[in-house]
Amino acid sequence: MKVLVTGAGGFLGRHVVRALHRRGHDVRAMVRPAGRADFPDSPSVDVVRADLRRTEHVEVAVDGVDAVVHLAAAVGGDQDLQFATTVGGTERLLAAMKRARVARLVLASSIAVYDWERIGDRLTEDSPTVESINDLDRRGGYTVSKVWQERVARRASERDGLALTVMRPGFVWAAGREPLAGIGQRLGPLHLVFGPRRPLPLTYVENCADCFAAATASAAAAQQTLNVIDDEPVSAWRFTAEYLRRSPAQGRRVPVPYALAVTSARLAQRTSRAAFGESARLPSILTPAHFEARFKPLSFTTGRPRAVLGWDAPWSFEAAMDRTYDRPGADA
Amino acid sequence: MKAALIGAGHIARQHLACVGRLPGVELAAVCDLSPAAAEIAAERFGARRWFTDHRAMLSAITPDVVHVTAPPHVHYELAVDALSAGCHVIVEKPAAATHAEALDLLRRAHARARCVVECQNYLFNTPILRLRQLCRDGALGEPVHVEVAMFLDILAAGSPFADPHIPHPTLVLPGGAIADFLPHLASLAYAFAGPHREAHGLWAKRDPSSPLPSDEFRGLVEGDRATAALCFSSHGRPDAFTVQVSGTRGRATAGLFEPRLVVERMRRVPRPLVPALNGLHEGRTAIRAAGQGLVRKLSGGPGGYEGLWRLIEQTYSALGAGRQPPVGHEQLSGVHRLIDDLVAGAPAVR
Repeated sequence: MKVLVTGAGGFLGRHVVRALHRRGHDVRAMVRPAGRADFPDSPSVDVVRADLRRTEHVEVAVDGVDAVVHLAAAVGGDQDLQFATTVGGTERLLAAMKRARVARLVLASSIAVYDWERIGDRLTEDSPTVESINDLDRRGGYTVSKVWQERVARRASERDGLALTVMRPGFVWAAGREPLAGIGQRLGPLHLVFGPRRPLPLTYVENCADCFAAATASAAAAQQTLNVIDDEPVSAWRFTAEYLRRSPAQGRRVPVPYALAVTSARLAQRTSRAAFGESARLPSILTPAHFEARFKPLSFTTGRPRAVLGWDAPWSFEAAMDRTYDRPGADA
Repeated sequence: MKAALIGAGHIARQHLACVGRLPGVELAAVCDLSPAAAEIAAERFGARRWFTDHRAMLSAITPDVVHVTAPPHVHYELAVDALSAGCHVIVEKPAAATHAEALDLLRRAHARARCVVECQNYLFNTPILRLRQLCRDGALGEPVHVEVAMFLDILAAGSPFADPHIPHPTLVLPGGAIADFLPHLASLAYAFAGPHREAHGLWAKRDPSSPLPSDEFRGLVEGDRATAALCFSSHGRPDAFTVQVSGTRGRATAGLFEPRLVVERMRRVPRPLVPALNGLHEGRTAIRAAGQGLVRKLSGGPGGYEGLWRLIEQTYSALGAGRQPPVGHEQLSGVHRLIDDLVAGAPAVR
């Protein structure tokens, strides 16, 4: 199978290229025109330099492939720039795929699309996602872009018969990419851990990439939505301890009960609205909708990739930690 | 009045939010080449319809006013289409790439008895309005010299102007990325120094690795009322945007990124006390401005775009009453004539 990987030069993309290559696929790696294009673990990879903002680039990239793994997305910039890059790029990709008769798409979405305020205690693939424009705007640019990216892909799937798999990874981590923003707040040498006992929705980058590769070749994955979260529950407290013990990072953990932290955010919002009205703005960590999306204690079901793909994560948390910190720079 | 908008990107958000608050104005439609961008903007700001083809929108909606907020290199052609459809046009800066294009827009507007308004929005920010009032009141005496300086890191990592992957659309304009900011500098110089008699631009490239043809600009202008010096710097830190007017009796400096107005006057006290009194005034102004800046950030609303909102409000008000809009045709022509002279000799993109 010839597979185009967009965002192949990125953090997850390099691992997806390697995982697809290991599973015997021909890989075309799409990197940005001035981006890195070396794939030492996959020497036979076909590199195409293209930018999703240019229709003519995208048409060259999709020509002759059987499937697309679409990872490219903006992670920085203001909300409108993220939307234009992520959603506009996906629109151009879908149009080019239709013209080139490429009928298989594996889309990298995110668990950021879920409506964490409406989820009770367990997040599954069937949990509600953020839908209304007001709720989306409260959650910020990344969530807006990811929800709309899924929306345009699902519409294309219904309209054009595209075999679509939506992958929603949790916190994808590796050395230097620890999910600290989902654990708490750093204050100098102190690592405040909000809700220390809550499990984190972690997926080690090599596990996540392998799941994408497994989904790409699976006929059963078509029209499925899969959360990509490692099986083994790891608490925020434990992850921080392992991170501080194994990495060069320094500091002390400070547990902060979730109820106390979220109440502080709600009080800050109430005070701000009393002073400035509904248009009041606060830093994201003091905005309850953002706070819950990052820190709300939930449990996570991890069974659907196994049920649909027959897939198990290759690396346990302990083994992933060993690979990450005993081989410094290996995942950079 | 029925409003419509073409180009639902970053700046469109400000236009749409402002239009949504204007009494008697209905947002009829939004258009963008991206269906998703058009649809979400329509949903967010309550437009009845959305389009991906601006000509189809103009024909189906017949708006009274069209906002052109697409990328700069297509402003002129979109404004032409909107004027041809019989609409007033509020167009983001630069409305045109050259003075000749600006004159063509004005000719087309005149032929159809319509208005074309360029968003020279900093003229309507509070510190500039106060500075203009000081000048009108003669508080600074006769104007002698105007300094307009913008320091903005458009080469920073992630800046769309310095995108290493695909060139920014402004790079095709004379002056490159800096041309996107020249209407601000030129409109402020025009407002305080008057129509120019002579103008010269100096263009330099300090960072040879940047994709921009120039990353530094200086301009010298002899206006009808005063001289002016213009500066755009991609390298000076921290970011700042200031306008200083020196007159025969005093000097005033308006800050636009961090809004404030500091006035140095010739005071009726013994001369040695003048610097102390001016210093006290400056200190009080700085502290008050810092507090107001924090409140502005926390309170939402237009923030630094307050001038744009004011310009749009006043434009609709004028159009509704049949008056001349706050940025008139003479000013549009004068500013673009100045820009033409400043970009003469600017290096083209390689």
